[in-house]
Amino acid sequence: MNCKEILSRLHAYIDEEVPARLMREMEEHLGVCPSCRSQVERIRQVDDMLDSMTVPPLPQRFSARVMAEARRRALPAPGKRPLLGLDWMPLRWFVDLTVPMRLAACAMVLVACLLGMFMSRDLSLSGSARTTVAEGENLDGFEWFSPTPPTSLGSAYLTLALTTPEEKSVSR
Amino acid sequence: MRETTDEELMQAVAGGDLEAFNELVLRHQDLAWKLAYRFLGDAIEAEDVAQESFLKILEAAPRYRPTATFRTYFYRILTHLCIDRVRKKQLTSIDDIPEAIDPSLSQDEGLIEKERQDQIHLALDALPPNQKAAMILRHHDGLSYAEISQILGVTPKAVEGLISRAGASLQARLSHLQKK
Ligand SMILES: [Zn+2]
Repeated sequence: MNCKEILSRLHAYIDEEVPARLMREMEEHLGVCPSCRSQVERIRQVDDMLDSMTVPPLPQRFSARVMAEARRRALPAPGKRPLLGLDWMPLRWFVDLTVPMRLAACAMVLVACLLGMFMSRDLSLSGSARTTVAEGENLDGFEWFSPTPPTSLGSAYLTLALTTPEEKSVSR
Repeated sequence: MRETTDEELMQAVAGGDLEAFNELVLRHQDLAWKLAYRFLGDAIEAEDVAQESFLKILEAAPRYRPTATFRTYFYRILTHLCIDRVRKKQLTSIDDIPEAIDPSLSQDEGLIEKERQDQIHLALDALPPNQKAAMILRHHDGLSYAEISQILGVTPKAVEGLISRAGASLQARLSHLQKK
C-alpha cells in the first residue's frame, strides 16, 4: 500500500473497521512513515474535539411531554368522534394488517367469488327451466304464498316465480 | 427475571400498550436527546425533533418488523428527521449563524470554551447533511459502520467515504484550534 491508499482509509483504521490483514499492513506502514503517522495524530485531535462537544442535560419532564402528546394523539379527533361514543369499526382488523396481508385477504375473497360463480353455473343456466308449475307448487318456501287472492301481490309473485322463460315469451 | 427487550416492547406498542411505549421513551431518551442536540446545536429544536422521533415510532409500531434491532430502527428515524431539519434550515436561514465572539472580550475561560464549542458546531454545520450525519453517528453510542450504513441506508463502504471526507473538511476548518 502506498501513502495515498493508507490516507484514504485512516478513519476506518482508527475505528478498527478494516479487515485484520489490512490492519497489520497499515500498522507496518505507519511504523516506517512519519507523514502518515502525523495524519493519524491530526485525525485523533479532531475526534477529541468532537468528543468534547458538550450537551446540556435532557430537558426536564421530557418523557412526560412525549407521553402527554402520545395520549392526545391516541384519542380520536373531536370532530371524528363516532355516534353514541362507540368505537365501532367493523373493518378495523383490515386497516391494522400489513400491505401484503391486505393483498392476500383481497385475493382470497376474489378466489372465493370466482369459485362460487364456477360451481353455481349449472344452477343459474338450467335451474328455472327444469321446474314445472306442478313441482313449483311443492317447492320449499313457496307454499305459504299458495292460498292467495287472485289479484294480490302474493299471487303475482307466485305466478312470476313459477313461470318458465318459455311460458313467459308465449304469454306475451 | 429477564428484562423485556426493546423489540418485545415495540410489539406491545403495536397492540396499543402506552406503558410499553413509555418504557421505550425512558430507555432511549438520553441518547436521542444527545444525538439530536449534537446534530442541531439548539435545545428547542433538538427537543422538538427527539419528541417527534418517539411519536413517529408510536405511529409506525403496527408496521414494525424486528428485522433490524430497535436501536438502528429508532436512530434511522431520528437521523432522518435531523437531516430534514438541517436541510430546511440551510434553505431558509443562511444568516442564522451565531456571531463570532470578539477575542478581546473573551478573557473569561467560560467564554473561550463557549467560542471553541461554537467553532466545532459551525464546522459540523458546514458539512453536507449526510457527511455530518455519518460523522456524528460515528461518535455516538459505539455505533459500527455496519449499523451506520443501516441507519443512513447506504453501503458500509459509502459510510467510510462519508466519514473520510467529513474528517478532511473538519480538519481544514478546525486546524486553528488544533495543538501544533
Ligand atoms: Zn505514508
